[in-house]
Amino acid sequence: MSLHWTGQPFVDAGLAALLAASGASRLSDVTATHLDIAVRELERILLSDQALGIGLEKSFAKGTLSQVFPNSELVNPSNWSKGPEGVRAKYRTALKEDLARAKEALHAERGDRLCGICGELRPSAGFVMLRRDRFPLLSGAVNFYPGFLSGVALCGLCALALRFSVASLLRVGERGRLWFLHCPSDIVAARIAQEYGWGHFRRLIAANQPLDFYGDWRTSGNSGAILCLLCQLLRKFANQLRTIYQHGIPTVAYVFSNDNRGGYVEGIPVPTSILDFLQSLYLESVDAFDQFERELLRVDTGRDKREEAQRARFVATIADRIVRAEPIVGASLVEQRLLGGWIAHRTYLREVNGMNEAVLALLERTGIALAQHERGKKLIGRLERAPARDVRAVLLDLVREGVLSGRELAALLPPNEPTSAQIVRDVLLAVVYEYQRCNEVGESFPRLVGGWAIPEPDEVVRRLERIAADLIRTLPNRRQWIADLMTARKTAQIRATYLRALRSGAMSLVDFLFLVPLGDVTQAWVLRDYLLAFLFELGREAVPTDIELVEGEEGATDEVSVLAE
Amino acid sequence: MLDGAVRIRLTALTASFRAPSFVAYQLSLAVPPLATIFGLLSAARGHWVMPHEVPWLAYRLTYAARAMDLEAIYSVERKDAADTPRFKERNIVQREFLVSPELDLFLPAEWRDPFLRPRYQLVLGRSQDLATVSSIGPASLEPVSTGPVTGVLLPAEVVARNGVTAVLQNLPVAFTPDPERAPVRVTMFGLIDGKRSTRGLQFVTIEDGAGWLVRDRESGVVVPLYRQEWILDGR
Repeated sequence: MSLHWTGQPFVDAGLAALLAASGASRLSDVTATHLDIAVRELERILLSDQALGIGLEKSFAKGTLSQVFPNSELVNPSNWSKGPEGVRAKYRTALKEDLARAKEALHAERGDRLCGICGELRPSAGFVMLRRDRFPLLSGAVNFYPGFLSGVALCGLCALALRFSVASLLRVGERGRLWFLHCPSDIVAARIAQEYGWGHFRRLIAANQPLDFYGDWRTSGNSGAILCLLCQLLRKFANQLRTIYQHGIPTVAYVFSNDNRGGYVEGIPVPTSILDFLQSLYLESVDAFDQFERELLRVDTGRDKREEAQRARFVATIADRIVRAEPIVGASLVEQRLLGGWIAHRTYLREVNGMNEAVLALLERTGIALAQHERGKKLIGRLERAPARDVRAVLLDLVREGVLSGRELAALLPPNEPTSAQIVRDVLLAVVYEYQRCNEVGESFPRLVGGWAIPEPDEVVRRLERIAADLIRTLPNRRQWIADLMTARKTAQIRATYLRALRSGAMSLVDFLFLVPLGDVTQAWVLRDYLLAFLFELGREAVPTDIELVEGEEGATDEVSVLAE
Repeated sequence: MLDGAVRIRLTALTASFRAPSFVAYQLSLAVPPLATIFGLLSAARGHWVMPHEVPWLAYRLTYAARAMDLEAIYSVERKDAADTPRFKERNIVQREFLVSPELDLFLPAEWRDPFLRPRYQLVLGRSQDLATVSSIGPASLEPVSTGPVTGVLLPAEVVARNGVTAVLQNLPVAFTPDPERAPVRVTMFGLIDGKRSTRGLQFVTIEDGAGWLVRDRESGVVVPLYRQEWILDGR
């Protein structure tokens, strides 16, 4: 019976480390010989002087490792009563017994007892009851075990795998917490164990330094460590990992502490879109990938304490947002500068936030137009200060100026998606700042290559376009009518303006009812803005240029107001 | 096509489905394992229901939020298998729970009556997670190859095939009756979180359902359907 991923995070972490130490290329290829090789390596590492702390100031076995396996064979004081050799003998014996049970399980065709971890039927004789000294995050109290059993029964293979989990564990760097990536992939999981587990331990032994878990992330927070690991993996093993990153495999980072004084465990699923994003960014530009990691995920030492703490908070916030697949562009705008680089943000918006490439290209074009505009400073200032509900008004001004068309406005801020205003504002500012920075340092702005057609407008937008065209064709005194619509402060004033058009025959009753639906004040304001956009575009000569557009308070929706806060 | 099925909606104030991987740290799974559903069926019918009594079933669970509770426990100590369990001390432990869960159960028509008049109290997790049947209606399940899903358990191979974000867990499909309560089968599932946000439900699109997905024509809900043969033997 071959080995396979189980779905139990700690056992899978152990299987990954076992695979890495065994020399086998796939879990299903692991044989008894591979088990022997892996066990020898585990024994060599954990029984080394550097692990036991012999002749050194710190003991990994009695220190950090005891947090994972409290009171294990390497910690138990009675074993230490005979000195290091007593401990070594005790551990070797226990490991030998586990190995024998594992081999038995591996050779057995089909047993008579179901292992609750791997789900395989294994011979009952090979089962072993584990408690917290051998199985992380078990409790000393037996309340949670079925029927008050004295521990958890595992088959020999799962029990052996648990011993190896040490080589898959990493340190977060905060509050003594440890973590590992639960990623059932022969390539990714084994690579992590190989590089950051076995490789790291071997380097410490060679340098005669006390063993410890790898944790040199120079970042902040749990999410920061996860993302730095993913970046490092991609950089070091790009070729092997490319397929995995492209296809996306379910990956969960488990952060835990097995401390007696207060245990803790948290599972943080890593969205597959994050893997897509990192992969795409790396392929597009290694420099942009480096800049993203450096400016958004790294906390450099050597700054003064206050600055360092501030930077750590910033990095932790950004990393948390990334791991939750939330927009990050707004949070990356610091002192009129975009941190992380535009290429990375553009890729993130596309891969993680699902922004259409044509809309991205349009945002780029609009942002650059804003930066180049003769009244650019004023418009940018307005955008910087604008709460989300006023963003549409700023863009409407751009339509009036001829920078955007009505359809483009509708593509950027669809009438039925009021929540997109905030992100549109942030992206526009990001493009503006990046464009200005590029100009300052003499770089060219990295624009999207290719011609992008904006998505076809929906029925509502097409109807507004048609109403605007009818109005331009048939309205008497268009200029005054448009001015009245622009300066309306109450919904009643909008309605009165439409009624004038209805009376003169420039608008049908059906269109009137569509534009000011009964009982829906917010919709009336939204539709007015898009109607104005098409009026600006189609009847440019009739558009008053000296009148400020008024956004009535009645038009604010709760949802947008909340976002603006 | 499975005509004449029923869709039973259970709602509760709280639910908790303990993640079996972390025995002493009571994290809640986002979706109940199949074993919990069989427990629910057993409560409704009034006797222990085993998989061979249910030809198929499907379900999804959505919830409003996750929260953490503190509860006092009287720790029971047992040094080894030969030792007698005894109370040791009073302690405080954390327990994660789901807020305002809604479970949509799709079952063969004969399950309508047991859920109209359940024999025992229905719970979504532990005894304090009392649930109520808020609606029972007709369902008509048709196979679909693709579809948006949320709050479901997908077999690990379907998750891998589609490269979707999921939390992998090995979970029991059912337990044998007392006193042994041994798992009938344990297998790896991918949990697709069904948290309801202010923007509504977030769905994951399954492009290749590999014969697992069904859509309820009445409600439009897409869920994986677990056949009896698969539950029992993984086939």
